[in-house]
This record gives sequence, C-alpha cells and structure tokens, in this order.
Amino acid sequence: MENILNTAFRSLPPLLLAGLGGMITAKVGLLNLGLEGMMLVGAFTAVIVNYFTGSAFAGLLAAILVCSFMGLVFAVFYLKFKVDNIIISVAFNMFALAITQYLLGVLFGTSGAFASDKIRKLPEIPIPFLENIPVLRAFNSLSVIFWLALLITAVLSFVINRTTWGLHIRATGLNDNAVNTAGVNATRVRYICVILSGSLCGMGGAYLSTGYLAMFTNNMTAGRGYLGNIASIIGNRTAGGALAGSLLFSFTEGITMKIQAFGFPSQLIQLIPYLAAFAVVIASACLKRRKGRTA
Amino acid sequence: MKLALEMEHITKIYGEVRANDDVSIQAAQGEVLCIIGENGAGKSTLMNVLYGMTRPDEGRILLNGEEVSFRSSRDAMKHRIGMVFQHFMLVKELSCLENIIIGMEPAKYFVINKKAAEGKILQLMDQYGMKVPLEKPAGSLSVGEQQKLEIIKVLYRGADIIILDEPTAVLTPQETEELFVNIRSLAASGKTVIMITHKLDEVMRVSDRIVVMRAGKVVGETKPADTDVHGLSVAMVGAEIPPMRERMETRKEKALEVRNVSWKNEDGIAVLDHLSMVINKGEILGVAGISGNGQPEMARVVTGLLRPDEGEVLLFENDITAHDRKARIEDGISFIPEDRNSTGACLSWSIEDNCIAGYQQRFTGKMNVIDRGRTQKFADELIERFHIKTPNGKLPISSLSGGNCQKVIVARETAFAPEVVVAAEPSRGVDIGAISSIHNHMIELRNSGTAILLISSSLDEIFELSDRIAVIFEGKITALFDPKQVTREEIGLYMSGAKREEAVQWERS
Repeated sequence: MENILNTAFRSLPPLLLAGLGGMITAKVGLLNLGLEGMMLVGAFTAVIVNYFTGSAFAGLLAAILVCSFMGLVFAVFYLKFKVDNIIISVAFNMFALAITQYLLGVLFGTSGAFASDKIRKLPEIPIPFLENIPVLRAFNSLSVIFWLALLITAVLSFVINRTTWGLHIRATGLNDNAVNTAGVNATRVRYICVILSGSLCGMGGAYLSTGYLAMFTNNMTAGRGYLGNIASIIGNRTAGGALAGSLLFSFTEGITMKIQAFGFPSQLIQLIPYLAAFAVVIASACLKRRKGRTA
Repeated sequence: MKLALEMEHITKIYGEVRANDDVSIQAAQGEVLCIIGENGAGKSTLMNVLYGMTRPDEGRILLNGEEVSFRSSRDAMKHRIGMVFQHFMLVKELSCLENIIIGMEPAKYFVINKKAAEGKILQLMDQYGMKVPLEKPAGSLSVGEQQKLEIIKVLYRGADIIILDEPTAVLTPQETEELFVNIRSLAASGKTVIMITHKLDEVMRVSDRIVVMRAGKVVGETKPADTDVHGLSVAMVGAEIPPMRERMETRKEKALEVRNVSWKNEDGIAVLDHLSMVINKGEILGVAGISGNGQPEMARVVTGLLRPDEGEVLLFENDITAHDRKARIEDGISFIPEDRNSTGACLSWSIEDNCIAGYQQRFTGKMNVIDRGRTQKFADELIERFHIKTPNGKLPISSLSGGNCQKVIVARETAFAPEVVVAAEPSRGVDIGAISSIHNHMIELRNSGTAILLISSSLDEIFELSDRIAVIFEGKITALFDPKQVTREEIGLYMSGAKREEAVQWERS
C-alpha cells in the first residue's frame, strides 16, 4: 500500500502541474494541448542547464523561464495572429520532440537518452518522524516540487476565487465582451494565463528529468501533458479538481507499477492510465446525463 | 439647466459611408434625451463615440463645459459615462455582485472585499429603488432584472450620464413601465439619461427632448408636447409610409394543427410542455412571449427541424410528425428563421444562390444539374418584385443591408405558394421601410389563403398583423385572444406568467 501511494505521489507533480496549466487556460477559454511539448522542452532544458552548472535549481529556473517564453510565443500566435489553437499545439508538440532529439545529438552525440552523474537531483524533503507511521510513511522523502505543486494548487485556488485577478480570469473565459466593456483588458488576462501555463509546465518538466529521474529520454513526457489537460477538464476546471483528477491518474500509474512486478506484459499494463482516462470521460458523461434527467 | 454633455460636429466615416456627418447634440443635467432613427441612421455610432469605443474623425466632446478625449471605454467610464447595451454585457455564470464590481473591485492586496462591495451596492439599490438578488447568478434573472442589474452596474461605476441602447426591445409592457419609472427617478436625482430607440410611442412618454437622426445626420429636434407619433415617423423615415394592405375575408378551414407536443432538452428541462395550437387557412396567428419560453423550438417542431418527444403535427388533418425538413418543404411548410445570418441565409453565397436555397430541386435539369439560366431569371424576378437594392444577383448576400437580406429570405420562402409559413421575428433589425414591405407581403399571402404562424417579440408587430394572438409561456400556449378585444397590458400579464388559462379554446365559435 505504501508503495503504491509513494509511487503515486512521485508521479503526481508533472500531471498536477500540467493539469493546473490546462485549468488556467481553460478558464480563459483555451484548450491548450501544447502543454505536452512545453513540458518536454522544460525537461530537456532542466537537464542541460543542470549538467553544465551543476545546480538543480538553476536547471529548474531555466526550465521555467524557457517554458514561460514558449507560453508567450503560443499566446502571440493565438491572440495576435489568431492561429487556431489546435494547429499551434500540434506544431509545438512536434517541434519539441524534434528539437530535443536534435540538440541531444549535437550536444552529447547520443540519441534516445542522456544520463550522467553530473546531473544533480532536486532535493527531497525528509520527514523523519513519519518513517515509523504506516501509510503516512509514503509522505516521507518526497521531492520539494511535490510540496511546491500542492502549495501552488492552494494559491491558485485562492487567487481564482477571492482576488480581483481571479474574477477577471473567471469572467474572461465566460464572456470576454463583458470583461472588455467593464474596462478590463481581456486579451491581457489571456496572455498572462497562457504564459503562466508555460511556467507550470516548465516546473513539471524539470521535475520529470531532474526530480523523478536524473536523465532525459526522448519523448519522456509520454502524454502527461494531455493527461493533465484531461485532469483539469474532469476536475471541472478548478484547481482542486485538477488535483483530484491528477491524483486519479497518478494512482493508476502507481497501481500499474505494482502489477508490472507480477509479470504481466508491460505494453498492456502501460495502457492502464489511458484506459482510466477513457473510463473517467465515460463516467462523467453518464453522470451528466443522469443529472439532466432528474432536473 | 446646466449642460452636462455637448457633442459638437462629430463626423465618423467608415469606408465610404458617413456614419455620422457633422452631428451635434446636447444634454442637460437631469434630462432624458431620446435619440431616434432607423437602423443605420448613425445612433449607435454616435453613442460608440461617446462611450469611447470608436474615435471620431472630426468633432469634439465636452463634459460640463470641458473638452475631453476618450481612447477607450475605460476613459469614458472614468469621466462618469456609463452604457447599458442592447445585448447585455453580463457574465451569466457569475453572481450579480461579481458582475457589478468587475473591473472596479474594492480590494486590499488584490483580495476582494466583498463586504465593502455589498454595502456600496445595497446603498445604491436603496437610493434608486432598484433591487436585484446579489448572490444569484446573473443568468438566472429575468430579462427585466438583468437590465436592472446593468443599470446598477453603471451606477456603481459612478456614471452621471447613462446611455441606454434600445432598452425596451426585450421587455414586457410591465417591465417597460417599471424601466420608465426608474429612468424618471434617475433623471430626478440629477443623472442625464440618453435613450436610443425607434419605438415612437415610448419616446413620447418618457423623453424630455427628442433628437431625430437620418442617414448620419441630425434632421430634427423637438419635444413630446410639440409633436406626435406620426410626425416623428415621417421625420425619421423622411417620407410617408405606405398604408397597410387591406385584409380580405377568408374561408376558415383548419390548415395546421399541433397537438400536445412536448420536448425536453438535454438538461431534461421541458422546453415544450403539451403545446397545442391551430392555424386556419388565410389566417395569421401571432404568438407573443418573452424570449426563452420555447418559441424557437415551437418553430422547429412545425418546420420539421426538431422531432418532439410526444405529440403530433397535422397538416390538413394528415399526420406529418414523421416528416423531416425536406419532406415538409414538399408539404409546403416554409420557414423564415429568427436568425437570418446563421440560419436564414448563407452569407458567403450569392444573392442568387440564396434565392433558391432549399428549393434547388425546382431548378434542376438533366442529370440533376442546376440550370443557371433559370436561377438567374428567378433571382432577378425576386429582386425586382421586392425592390431589393443591389446592382445584380451575383453579389454575395453579405453585401446587402439587414433589411434587404431579410427581404431575400422572405421572398424565397413565400415564392412557391406555401401552405404554411412560419415567420420568426420577420422584422427584427430591419428598418421601417423594409418592415412595411414585409408586413404588406405577409397580409397579401394571408389573403391568398396561406396559414401564417408569426412568432415575434415585438407586440407592435403582433398587433399589426395577427388575426388571433396566442401567448406562449414556459413551452405552453396559455391564452388566445382576438386582437380587437385585448390590451397590451393584458397580454403582458400572460407573457410574464402572472395569468394563465389551463385549457385554451382553439375552435372558433
């Protein structure tokens, strides 16, 4: 049990951070499928900067900066040049795959994966007294990013529900005309949210390559950006909902790992998180219908 | 009286159109100024200039004698100008409180101080005698309440000059009365109210002064005491309006019958609830109702675009419930939809193609190929008969004005001697000249024996055209009247649901 919990918690941060990124852009009316590519670039940037500076935090910071910049580029294409968001997303994701693969070859002469003992891992936070408590033991020695991601969830939830910025964000996705006539620049609100989704993905990517593992492999995000999007949608586009949704997916990942140990074919087992996504979508559709009938 | 606002020599040119041509108006403190004019007369452009949404090419604005210049509506707001748009600028899902404060939230370190906001709003609501439930989502309010919410929003922003754009277009007669009381109380407390409208009888009742605009220019200024509705309409149109066509006596024979039709939407709400009605040959049945009571669904059931969960549709006693739209076109049921831009016309197509859309089978020759010679001749005929202003039928329909575009749709839907015409909001957003031509054409059709279902949010239109008036409320017909024996106020009571009949008698005595 503790094993499953611990695995789940370790795989949570990238899903949660992508989920929050998806949530914040969904709030302003944009389904940002480019989270996947941003997170991959984040993972790559973190490893590179980490390797050359010997500092995990420098890598983290660089990943956040680079991905925020990607968010800005996304926003310019989407808001200024009015390019369809699906097209930008696909371009972003394909570009991310190609550029990371290419740079890996140019910089290190390797293809596929890059690991080195010069890569420092992001620190883990030991909570010694938990060591002897069953179940809660799973919270011991989790990455600083895990706790940071939870903190960000709480902060975002507060910002969205209680502050002026939050009111502007909530209103923008629902009726931007009303926001503009109230004297608030809806386009600026959108810019900020898309850039913020990039920052969150940068953090998620950095965790993936320098927290969860200490290496970069091609396409190491493996759909986590998309799962994050789904987590935010089934979580009804709220911060708490994104947390619940990503917890669900990280638990299936934890369970998957456990089953794998029993020797089931791994290709089949790796389908489980995606099947879970399907199941959730079907369940929420059924729930919606039932709600409609009783109303 | 002190002048609160002066707009001097405002000119605004869009392309080759002089939307505002040397327009000057003034308004005093505590005055209700009505600006009237047809669509395209330049009223909205003038108000957009005043509210900072567009910049004039020439001219200046003075507030309390001082020249100001607005780059955005935010600037206008800062100078205490507020606007209530015809299409409300509300976020339906957010609470009324949030809608009022957005953009001007009382806050400390960005955290909204809800108590302070509530206090200020309650005080305003007391002062002006307008109440809305602050905690409820704006979308759950009735249209009249939503408008009140918009006015409170404007007051919260400290507006001294309040612009109301076509405020009565969506209201019941009772709500209109209430609005006028509120407008008078705003004026009495020193606010300047500018109301844009084309409903002349309302202008006569509520305004202190009237400015008439036509083709971008101010063509007259008067006071209610010095004029009447007829005088205003002549000034507004610039010509006498042709009189209504005479009604002929027609043979009463049941044409269309709807029996006990119910339909639930995907949220499980009964949008149509055991709705029944009868329309006779050569009769116009006007259906009055506040929007959102099932009117579009009723039209879609009759025209075959929506299959009801229960009930039947009969044409000359034959059950046609199972007929889809294509079959019903062959049955002779034509449709003038309420939204001409998305449903009535295909904007990127030519006028000619729009003239035959839905009836293209009538123009095919060998191998099902459309005969262009015939379609062109047909389109030219319609253009001539309906006085559609265009150089030729090959131009895209989007090049036409709203009124001419609507004339194309009316022409098409009535060209093939239909048995039944469903006309939903046939004169919405259309100028007086086109309205009179469309109305006369509908009377002509009626005289020739067509059954017409007229669905309209304009009681003027309903009273002018209908042989009988039905009221729809919550998906059900709740009353049936002879227009000569009922008042608007009485109908308003049924529209708002304050009164209803359980069983409406459809058979004529």
